[in-house]
Amino acid sequence: MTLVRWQPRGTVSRWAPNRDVEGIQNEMNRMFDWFFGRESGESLVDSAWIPAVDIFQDADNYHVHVDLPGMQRDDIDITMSGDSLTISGEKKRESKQDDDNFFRVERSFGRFSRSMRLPSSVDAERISAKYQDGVLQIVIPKAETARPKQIKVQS
Amino acid sequence: MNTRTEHKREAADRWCEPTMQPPTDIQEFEDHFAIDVELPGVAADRVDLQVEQGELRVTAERLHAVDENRDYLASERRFGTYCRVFRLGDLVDPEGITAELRDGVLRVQIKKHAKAMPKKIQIN
Repeated sequence: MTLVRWQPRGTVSRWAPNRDVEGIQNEMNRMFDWFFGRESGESLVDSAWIPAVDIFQDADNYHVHVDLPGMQRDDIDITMSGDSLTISGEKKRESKQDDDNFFRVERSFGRFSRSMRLPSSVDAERISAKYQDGVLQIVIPKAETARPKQIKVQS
Repeated sequence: MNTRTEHKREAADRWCEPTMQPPTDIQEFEDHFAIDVELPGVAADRVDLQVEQGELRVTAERLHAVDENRDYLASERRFGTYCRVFRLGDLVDPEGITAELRDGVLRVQIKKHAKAMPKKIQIN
């Protein structure tokens, strides 16, 4: 257990409707970091923003869906190491910008990185991903040993 | 374009939940305004743009796939109806609005009236 610096919620001043939700999320992350003895925000050092992620599973696969609107396919990196999946990249503004012509700035740009540990071993060789309508969809097949098996009852 | 914050938020709050207002950037160019609205996972035919009483209203429906075989481990993304209201001022031409949805970002371009464009004045 190390001493960690207290990080107050929301130092950002621009208006964002989900700030409260993000605040709660940050608070939760802090709590988990504390519980697992990590340096607070360690995994977020590289992140200017945090994309929203859904993870669900069916019998054969894990599915990870990430909201990444307005990105270039080449700017997204997916790495699998052991049972830990990392999605990172950089979101760049498409138009050359001239700072003083902005009336409203709510979208987030810059680097992001998210890591998640999957609950069972996976077949890293057969992971597939596609980017469509601003959503990254990753399909991660479970390892043979992790799939549910039907066991026949002998009569 | 009227960019007074209170006015816009008031208009928006009348009919749409703040949590479902998508992040938006607004930029001014010489002859038009560009509004970029983040709408990940929304199909083009689920986006609706309407100009009414000097307001541009954007609504977009994001459908959640209903599948009972899905066992969720994390669910952070939001689904439902996104909405946003933009007050159009005298500077713009409501007939000159175009919109394009690409990679989950809706770009709306609104032409300025000719009278609102910068004029170059010749020195004789």
